[in-house]
Amino acid sequence: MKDFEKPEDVRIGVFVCHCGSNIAGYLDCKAVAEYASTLPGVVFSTTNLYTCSESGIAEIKRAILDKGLTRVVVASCSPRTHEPLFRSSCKEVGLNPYLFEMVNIRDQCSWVHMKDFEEATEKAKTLVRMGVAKAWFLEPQEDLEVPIEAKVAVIGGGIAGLSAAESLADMGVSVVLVEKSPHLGGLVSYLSSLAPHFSSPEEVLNPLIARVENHSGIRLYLGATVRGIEGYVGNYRIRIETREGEELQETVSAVVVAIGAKPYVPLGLYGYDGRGIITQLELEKCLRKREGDALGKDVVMIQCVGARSQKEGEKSYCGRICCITAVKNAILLKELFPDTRVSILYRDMQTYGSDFEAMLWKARSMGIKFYVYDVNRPPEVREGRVLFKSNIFSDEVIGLPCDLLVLSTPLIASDDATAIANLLRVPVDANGFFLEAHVKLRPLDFATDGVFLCGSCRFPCTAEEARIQGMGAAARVGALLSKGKVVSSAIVAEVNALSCCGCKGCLGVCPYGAITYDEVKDVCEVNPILCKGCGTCTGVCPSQSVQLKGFNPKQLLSQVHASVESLKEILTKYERI
Amino acid sequence: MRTLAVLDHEDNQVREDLNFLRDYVMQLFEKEMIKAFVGYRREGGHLIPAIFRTIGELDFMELDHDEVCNVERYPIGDICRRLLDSWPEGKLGVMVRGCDERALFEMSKWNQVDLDRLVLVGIACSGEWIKKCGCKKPYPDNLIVGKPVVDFTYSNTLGAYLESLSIEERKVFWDEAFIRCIKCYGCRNICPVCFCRDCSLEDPLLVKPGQTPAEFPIFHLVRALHMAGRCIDCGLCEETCPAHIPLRTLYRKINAIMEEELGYQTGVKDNEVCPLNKV
Amino acid sequence: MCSGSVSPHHILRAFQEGVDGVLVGGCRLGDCHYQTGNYMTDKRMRLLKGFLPFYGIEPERLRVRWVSSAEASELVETISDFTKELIELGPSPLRRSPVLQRVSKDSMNRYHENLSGFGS
Repeated sequence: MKDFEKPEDVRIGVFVCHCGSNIAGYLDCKAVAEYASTLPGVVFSTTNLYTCSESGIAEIKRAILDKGLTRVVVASCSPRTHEPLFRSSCKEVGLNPYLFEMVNIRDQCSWVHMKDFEEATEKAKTLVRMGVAKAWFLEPQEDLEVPIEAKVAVIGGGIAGLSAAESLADMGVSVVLVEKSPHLGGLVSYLSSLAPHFSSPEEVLNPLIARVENHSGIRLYLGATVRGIEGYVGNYRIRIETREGEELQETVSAVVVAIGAKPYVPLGLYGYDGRGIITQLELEKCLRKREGDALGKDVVMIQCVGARSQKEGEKSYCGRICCITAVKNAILLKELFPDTRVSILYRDMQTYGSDFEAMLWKARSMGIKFYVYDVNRPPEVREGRVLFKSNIFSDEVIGLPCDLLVLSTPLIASDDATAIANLLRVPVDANGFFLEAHVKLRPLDFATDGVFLCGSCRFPCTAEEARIQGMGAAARVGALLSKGKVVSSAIVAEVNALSCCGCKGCLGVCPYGAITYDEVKDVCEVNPILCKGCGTCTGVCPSQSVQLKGFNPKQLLSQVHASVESLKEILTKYERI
Repeated sequence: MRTLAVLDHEDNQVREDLNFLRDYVMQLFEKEMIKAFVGYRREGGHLIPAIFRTIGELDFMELDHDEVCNVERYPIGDICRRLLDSWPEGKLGVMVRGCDERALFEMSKWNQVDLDRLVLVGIACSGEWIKKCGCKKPYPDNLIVGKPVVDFTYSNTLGAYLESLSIEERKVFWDEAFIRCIKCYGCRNICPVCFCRDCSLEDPLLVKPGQTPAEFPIFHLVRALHMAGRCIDCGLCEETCPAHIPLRTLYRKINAIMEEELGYQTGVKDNEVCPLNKV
Repeated sequence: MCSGSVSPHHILRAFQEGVDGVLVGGCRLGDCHYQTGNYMTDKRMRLLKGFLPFYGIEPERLRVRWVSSAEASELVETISDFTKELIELGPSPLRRSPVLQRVSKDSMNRYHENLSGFGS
């Protein structure tokens, strides 16, 4: 009944990668390749210095053409990083990319068995044998293409979200912008001035807000909350509760998360009271209103308040932009009220980049005093004076008169971050900031397809950086949408309608609702777009009627068989049976 | 069903006279509640399941209580499934023992039969057989004929004996049982809840083909696992097995674990489905 | 690919082929990359683990472990620990007592003796 015959046209090529010395230094690649050549179906096997290099790829292609390979097995590193490259190389010379199988002998052999050359070599042979066994039963597959609509949701109407929304709308993309508060602008609207060029926040924000509000391509939801998000790239359904309490749904192809951050309130630190002892953000509010004369002659700022600290309730990270903020506000104070004496107590000044560095030197030239304090001996505030030991080598106490004490506190994750992360099933770090797919390679993407991030919800950033990231995220979304379609992996579940008896077992366990039951045909069916290829359905089907492409019972059971056969060989060889 | 005149009869006592059944089915026909009835008729000295389409045909119905329950047992659930599939309209009356009914309840949860298209006419098993068979509920919910015997103790003596053995002894016992298997697939073929169209036991990569005894223990362990949340302990497999493998004991164990670990009992009419089939 | 795709078939086949143990690893419960797949694994494995000893395979030979991708050291520990336990258990009973090739008279008699008195 079942097809036990192996396919006849199987000609397998095996390429064992040295990875320089990464693999070859810890196991015998040549022996592995020789072993591979003895395996049934293998017509060609070799080693490469770097299989992923231009010459390695060329060798694979040449072998496919010259030796007529119908399957390619590469024993090298992680499929997570290199499988796409090898697959596309096969495709370039006309071999279906799904007739490629990868064996990870770097992570699983040379790395974990670094101290035992022989053991690592034997294990590599076993893994290659399993790969070859599976390769026998590989089948050509076609990736799925689904058209997508140019429609995006941006969550958060701060400067990052506004910038993303505007850029996207200018590309002709329909944008749904959801902002929790009743007005746009986010934290920037509370600032007095923007570093490093002391531009007015209104001059930046107001035209941007006006463009967003009046853009025909942007639908705005103010005072609205995101209640639910379901779906996948090309088809995210977002439930929004409007200001009026009405719930509605928008269907979009992608989501940009730009929910920003919030300032840390230093309750209990340095006698913070919001009047004589305030935060930088509170100072900005005063400066906006030009209420300077009431502030006093002597102003002291303390950096790293509640940041870079291991104390409970405080933050362990560097707030990143607090130094810039302090310098900026000190200059503003000095310019508005030249008689004011401003001192900044710091641990390390982090005014990165030439513009911010220039700002720091300008502050120094204006007579703003900078003192280092020792983290182990933090300043004390007593009777209108700030006392601290300036030099870590001496115990000399400096006392600064202080009419106004300004505490530089970090931005912390928004209250909504966890909820949004759960809705979108994207990760946050230990501090509640969102985790991008890759800090350098994909800084504005999430690992989840079709979800992007920008601004201070990623990590505290300046208004300028938030705007750059917003525009960057828009570009990433644009790159996705401009193709007009999403290509989804062919590795999805499939029901054999001939053997399915419609028991609905698979339907009940699918986490994605990708399986439906056809009453007329009395069989279950998989929607390949909804299917994420987890294979949970395949584990429940007694008749193996639902199978995961690329991981079907034939492929997996032949791997089980190959591994045990190989283990038996090893036991015999080492007389341990 | 409860509106039938016969059931309104005040005498709710023993209705051992199996002719009662004939009258009952006749009324089902008269009230147009069923299009056909699955009962038994005699053929070559044996009782075999048969389909009766008219009141006239009921004359050929045989109603030997002892034989139906004790001797001539068939996978009535499986027969119903096939009949309903090939005959897509109207209702079917069917005479069921406790186990037949349990099978139909379980099959409905697995989307194999539509209970709304069945009119169950239950018959209780007799005391003699109950002892021999040893199932937990030898009478159906929809009891029409016979007196339910409820004062008996369910015993799983072989199961208890095996549990008392050491793990090594158990393996010897089962190996000696499994080695007798001639791979006739009788256990599978007779099973009312084995409704797959393609059987994993015939997958050459899962169970080595072309050899007897069937490759063990995998053949029997795979089948046992497939019985989890399905087997309703009718015992047909064991009765059928020419090698006298105590299959029921094996399947009772897997479903005892199912009940203990996942809280699911097979063959009960409720809204639960097998926990393996839902998140 | 989710641990939910591990069919008991694969595990039984591995035991049949003579492995001494099978380790099934998945994301932490409640933390499944595929939302709920590992809960299904959990159910299936509890069933299988309970059943194996009724035939004669020690339940310790099937280990199910939930580890996240950030817990490399715990995974290493699990594997080392499992290997150690398997060495203590010795070879799998399916490997230890090679499958009886045919029915011996002895075993036939023993079998019938065992069955008599159970009435089935």
